[in-house]
Amino acid sequence: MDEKRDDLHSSVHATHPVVGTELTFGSVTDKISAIVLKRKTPIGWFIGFAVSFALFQLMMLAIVKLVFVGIGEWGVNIPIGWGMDILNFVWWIGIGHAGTLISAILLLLRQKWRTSINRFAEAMTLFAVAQAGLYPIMHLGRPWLAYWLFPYPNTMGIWPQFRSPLMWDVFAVSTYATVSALFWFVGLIPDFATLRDRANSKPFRVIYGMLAMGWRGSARHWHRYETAYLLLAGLATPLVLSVHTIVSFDFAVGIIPGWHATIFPPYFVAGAIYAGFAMVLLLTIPLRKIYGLQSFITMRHMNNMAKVMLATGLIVFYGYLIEAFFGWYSGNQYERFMIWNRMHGPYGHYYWALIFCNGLTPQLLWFKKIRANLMWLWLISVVVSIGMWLERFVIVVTSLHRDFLPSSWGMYKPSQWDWAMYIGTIGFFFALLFLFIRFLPMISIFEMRTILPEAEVEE
Amino acid sequence: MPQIFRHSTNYLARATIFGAIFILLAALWVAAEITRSGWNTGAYIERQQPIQFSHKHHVGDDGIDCRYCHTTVETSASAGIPATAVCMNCHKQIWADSPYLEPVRASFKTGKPLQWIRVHDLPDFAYFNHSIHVAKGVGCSTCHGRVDQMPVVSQTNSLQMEWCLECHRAPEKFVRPREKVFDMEWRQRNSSKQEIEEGQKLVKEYRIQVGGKNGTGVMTSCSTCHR
Amino acid sequence: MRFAGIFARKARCSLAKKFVGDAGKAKPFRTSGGKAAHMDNDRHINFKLLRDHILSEPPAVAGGQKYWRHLDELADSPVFEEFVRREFPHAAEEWNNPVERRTFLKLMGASLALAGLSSCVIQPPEKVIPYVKQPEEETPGQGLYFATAFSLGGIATPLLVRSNEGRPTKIEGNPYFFASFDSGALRSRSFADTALSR
Repeated sequence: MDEKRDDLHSSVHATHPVVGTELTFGSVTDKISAIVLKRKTPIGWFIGFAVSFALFQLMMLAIVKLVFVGIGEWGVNIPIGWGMDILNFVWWIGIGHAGTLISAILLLLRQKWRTSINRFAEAMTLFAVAQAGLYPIMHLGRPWLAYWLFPYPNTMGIWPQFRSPLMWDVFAVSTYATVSALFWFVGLIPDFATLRDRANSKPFRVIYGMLAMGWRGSARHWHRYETAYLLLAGLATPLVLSVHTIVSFDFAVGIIPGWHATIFPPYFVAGAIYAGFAMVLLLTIPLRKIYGLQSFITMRHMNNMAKVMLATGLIVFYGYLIEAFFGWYSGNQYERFMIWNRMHGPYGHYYWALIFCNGLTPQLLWFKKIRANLMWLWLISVVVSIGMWLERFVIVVTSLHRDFLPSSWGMYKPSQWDWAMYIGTIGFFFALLFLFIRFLPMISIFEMRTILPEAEVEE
Repeated sequence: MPQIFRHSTNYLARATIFGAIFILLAALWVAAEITRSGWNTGAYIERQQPIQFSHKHHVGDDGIDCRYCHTTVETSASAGIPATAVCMNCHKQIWADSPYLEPVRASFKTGKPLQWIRVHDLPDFAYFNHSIHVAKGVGCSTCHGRVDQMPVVSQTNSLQMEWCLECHRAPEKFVRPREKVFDMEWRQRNSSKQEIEEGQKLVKEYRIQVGGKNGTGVMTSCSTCHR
Repeated sequence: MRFAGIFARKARCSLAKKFVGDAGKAKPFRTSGGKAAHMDNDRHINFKLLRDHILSEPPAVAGGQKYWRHLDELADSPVFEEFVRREFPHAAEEWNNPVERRTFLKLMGASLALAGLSSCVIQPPEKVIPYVKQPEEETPGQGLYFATAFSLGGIATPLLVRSNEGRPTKIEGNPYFFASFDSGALRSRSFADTALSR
């Protein structure tokens, strides 16, 4: 029997087990639901939530100022018509992709190690997409007319401009948000039922009860659940690739050097997964320590996520190198200047910082010792997150600030309100995450039970 | 384990879900209808003017041509509102003492112009030129309705962009021979197959530049009207 | 009661068969909500036997405890078995559409709604004011051009002025005079202001 068991539970094939061997059905449920229902909320949670909520208020202030005063309060101007708005949009959407990959793609590939991180990662995706979704609306000159982006029967008798990649973004991001939300919610239903049954107070029983949609745990329900979940995973999988491809088209269909490149779709998708996994690691490493989830999110997970980060980091690094190469190889003076300007122009230090953060730093992940050291892993994740922001900065700003006509060249300086909005979205993101870890089971309880040794049914 | 919800929650849940979708769609439909309604567009609202000028009487009964008062409709973007002197051309002699016409006489005497309330008004971002429409065979009644039957002028169409585009995309449905532009009784649109064929002939004859697919001809190019 | 095991444990069923009493009172099931109505009535179970067996049972074996949610389940009455059979999926099952819960989208929408509502003001009716006596040569909407002159440094400088309804809207050098003259100077703002002030 032992040979037939997969390497989930034995240390023979894997460096570490996927799930702690001391767990049982009961202890899994107890531990995870206790975080929501029984344990006293740690003081750190209150402090963290307070800080993030304060930053969220900063974001609201920035939005109100923007709506009343206009885009002029941002640093965007001619020739840099797109600045922090689009670059933060791409950064947030990129972060979201890891969650869907973990939830959907690893599910379809039957990777059991996704189980303890998928709920959290998917929540992270939703909250990241929420932040991203704010930007396309806020960067419109008249955000109250954002509904014009949708093809409704309007009194102007015209369709929206479907030739614009920004319109494609509208559909890609809305689809992504909808499918992710559905996927996440469906996956939560059995756990809502568990919480409903264990809740101590009537209001919580009612709330979780309503969210549980009358779940009984019967085989009929499970059968329907499995079907729905698989279908949603199938729907979400192509989105991982398509959404960031569409976002890359925002640039790739433009004509300016540095944007008009066919490498963009795979380069952006890899970059998105890279940034996303960096964020997942950034969040799960402290969380598992604080909430004592080491049996659930094991060193095996850390190892695997680090490896994914390394792989995608290498693809992204390849992207940088090939951009530099074809900038030169094309022989086109504008392309050559573009790549020279990136390296030696006024934003040159951003470029070299980028190469360091995204190209060189992940090379440390080749070493098993680094992958096993959580402190190093966390620091690398922070550096990579910053690096991915720098990458979007370099792509957007350096290409725009100096393109074909020297008399049109300019410099970009983000204004206070640009930063206020950005930091505010980070605060909003964390505020949502804090609410999530307090009120919802951050690890999928029932899915964890399926990967326990107890779960194996003897033939 | 006591049940948290009553049995009726099942029905309520289902009703709410379907109801919510239905209500959302209904709300969107209602919003679409309201934006096209007279409340929003100003259509069919009879604008009370400072003097009760009746087109029904002057045009319908007396048979005065549009161009007698709206003099610049063939030469200018604006059709023109008649100067007080135009009214006084007749009303120096007819109804010269009528109390209804006192404001006209006062305006003529003092030199202060009459202040009419505008009935047909497009927003400032849309440019409209009367002369080109008249020259290309668009009749007065096609856009303004049966003015010869209006005691008080009201706007009969929404004047929204989708309404303009209806003709701009298919002018053969609305164009008429040039001689009939000021004929109030001519059909306001071409409906039958034969009428549309006649319309197509006129489109060619009057060189109405429909162009290729949407947006490539002058008629459907954005900058034609949004200058 | 605590619900931990989600998978049916086969061991339970064989254990409890002995305790079933008279199950002839089976009533039709309700299909929604929790259990069927008559399952609240435990009369078909022999409780004494059930209790004795539970008390004499050996402690939990490896592989977890055997859990039950309802006494019917433990007793494994035919009433319960009918219920269980009902719960197993049949050949062709309908797939229910799960409902969307867009809580985070609601948050986004709320912040947008706070940001601004569309200005739903209907354009108030404007006035249109004609002449009292319209000059013959005027076409409202089209400009009337005047050839005139202006004294620039003591010299009469020819001008072409476009006037819309009596308002001068463009002043430029008359192109028929002084073709080589630098009309840029004539177009300067200060010049136009001076001309208009006269």
